[in-house]
Amino acid sequence: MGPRQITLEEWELRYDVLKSAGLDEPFYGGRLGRHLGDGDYRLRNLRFDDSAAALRLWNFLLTEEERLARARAEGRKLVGVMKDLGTTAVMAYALDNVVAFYPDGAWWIPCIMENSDRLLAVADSLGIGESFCPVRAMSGAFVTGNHFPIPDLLTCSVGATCDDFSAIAQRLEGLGHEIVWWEMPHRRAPESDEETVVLPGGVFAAGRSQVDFVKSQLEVVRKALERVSGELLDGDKLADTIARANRVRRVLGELRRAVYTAACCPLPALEMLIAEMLAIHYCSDRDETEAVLEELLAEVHARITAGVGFGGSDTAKVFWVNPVADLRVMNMLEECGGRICGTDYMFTHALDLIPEGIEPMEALALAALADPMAGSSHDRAARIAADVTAFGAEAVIVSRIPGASHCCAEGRVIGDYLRGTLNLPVLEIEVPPLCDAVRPGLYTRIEALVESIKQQRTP
Amino acid sequence: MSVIVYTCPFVPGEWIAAHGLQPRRIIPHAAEAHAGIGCAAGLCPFARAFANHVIGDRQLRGAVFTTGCDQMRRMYDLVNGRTAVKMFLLNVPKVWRSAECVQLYIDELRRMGRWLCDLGGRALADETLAETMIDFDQHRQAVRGAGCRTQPSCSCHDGFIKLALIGGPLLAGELALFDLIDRLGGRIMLDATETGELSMPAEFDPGRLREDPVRELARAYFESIAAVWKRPNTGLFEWTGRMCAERQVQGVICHRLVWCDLWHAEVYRLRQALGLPFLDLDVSDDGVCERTTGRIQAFMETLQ
Repeated sequence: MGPRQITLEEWELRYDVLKSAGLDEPFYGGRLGRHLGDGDYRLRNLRFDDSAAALRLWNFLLTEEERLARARAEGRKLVGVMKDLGTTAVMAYALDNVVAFYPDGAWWIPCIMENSDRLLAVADSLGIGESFCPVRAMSGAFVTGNHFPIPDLLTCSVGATCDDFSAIAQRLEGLGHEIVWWEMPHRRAPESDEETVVLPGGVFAAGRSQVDFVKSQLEVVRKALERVSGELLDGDKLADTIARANRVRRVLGELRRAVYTAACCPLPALEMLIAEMLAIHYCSDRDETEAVLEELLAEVHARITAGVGFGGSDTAKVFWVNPVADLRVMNMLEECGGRICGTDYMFTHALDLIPEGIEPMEALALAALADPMAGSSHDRAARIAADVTAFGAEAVIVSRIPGASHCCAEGRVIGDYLRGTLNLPVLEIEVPPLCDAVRPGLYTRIEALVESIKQQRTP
Repeated sequence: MSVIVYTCPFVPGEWIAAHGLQPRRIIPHAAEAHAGIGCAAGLCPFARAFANHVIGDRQLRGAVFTTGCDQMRRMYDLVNGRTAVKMFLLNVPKVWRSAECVQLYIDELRRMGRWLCDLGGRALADETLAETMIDFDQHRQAVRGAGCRTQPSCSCHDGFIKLALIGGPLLAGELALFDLIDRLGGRIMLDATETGELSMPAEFDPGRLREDPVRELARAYFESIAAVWKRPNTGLFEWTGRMCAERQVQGVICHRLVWCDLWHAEVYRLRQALGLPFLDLDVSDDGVCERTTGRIQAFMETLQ
């Protein structure tokens, strides 16, 4: 029998079956249903992959708060690295006594907890209302202190970033949380007389002066990390942390390649979204991230070998742009007869390998500059087009994030580019933190896209 | 055909003029909903109005967009390719207490200078720049001293409620706000919008100007103008607080365009920091509409 997507309720029985078959779990293992006790009510509305590897993935994700609390209790320094999504966390994990995480991740809490923790209401009370991106939940998390310990150090990249995040981070500083700001310049084409540096991923390029500038800004972060940890962050440690990051990225890269190019989809969209997210800051445990991804990869390879998966070989192949505020929508794609074949969840630079064998700070600057959100929307569209081609996607869904400053303009640019260069159908949708009220409309739109993909295929 | 248009206060007009081209900082008119780049939910009305101005004015030589806010940065992407007007995106750093960021701003000005030369401008000479800076500074001095808003004790303000208008940039149609407030018994003593005094560069220091005009230009603009998007944006709070006290302001109207997260997020703190009666005036691109008038009217009544 092939894999199935099952409900939380079904996972109870499935867990018993796996346990009786000798399931060996890591320290954070256990029944998925226990997370309801933490208020993670959205789990009741999701459908999960039924493998032990997926169980481990979910348990790992849903126990991050416990890991952060334990790290604090053990006296390790907590660093909240905000906005750059992937680079400064790699730096922080070079230090023995530091655990880094992205407070940005709080944007999923209203979804996961179905607003039961009222983080959005707290944000409202601070004057950060619905016209902001759901990342406003982060301000609520800082005020309530219920979801992560207040970090010993906060860093935040600004410049070529969205206004929502920059504004909310500034409000955090106004609440008394000191922030080490560092500048991420808008990535531009190199000047005609300037050395061109090709960035990780191979699609974007920057001028030498921009690389040097970002290095200078990452030096600011390096000094702050040294201050808070009391450890020297030297070149050897940085080279080692880059190598470790690349190990994770290689496994994830192979997982993406295997899943997105398989004849029959071996792992659902929801689990793949969670897996990709792990690359950003390892869910606060780098070693375990690697192990979780390796187990997922083994499961995927086994399914591909057995020729089993989700949907048939005629399932519509969709490339997904931007993360969804409500995880339930990822299930919806499969319900409508689609599958994911490629993604840009705003952190493709956290998936690309960081160059090794060069000066580590230079390598990190290159990685930071490869951020798809730091350049123009045309740049981002070019990268999407390259990945669409590589993964063989037949259509693109651009998922707007409500209130996000980049979403009102970029969808049109990306859509025009993809229609013009690849002649692909592009659908824009907007996903709020809880999509229940708009679910029928979203379903109809995705279903229509899937139908048109199938109609356009040549017999 | 030598006009270079822009809206951002961090674009120094004297830099463009010193390259032999004509700087024109505009306050755009609200855009027609379906004109130019069209309308989409979430688009800033001001950025859209500027974009449509650039698309619609065939007499322009060039247009300078900046990265001050993400909306304008993204608007550059939208306009790019939809007009024959040459466009330039000036990267203005958000972090400002940093020598590297000051240098980045200077490097960006020089990059813009090369673009201006490509458009037919002349190569920059320090002497020309210094002369142009002095000339512009004198004009600004005249504006600074004009009227009696800087003299709150002047008898012409008697009977009026002294107000500060702070916030994001005004669209051309919103300039009528000044008359409206006047009619309702108020007097704008401080225009701390991005199209007003808030965006005025500092006076040039003659000694530093002679020594290194480019560096002095960066000091007067990048380091001195307070902006809501600077990180940290403490300068905005210091400046508005000081100016409200100097001008004996009795009430504050905060003008913010819908979808402007940067001003929206700071309304709460500004209200607390200034400690004055405060009206959060959210506006779209429909000028001084009935709703706006009604809200200001009610605010004025509470201050009587």
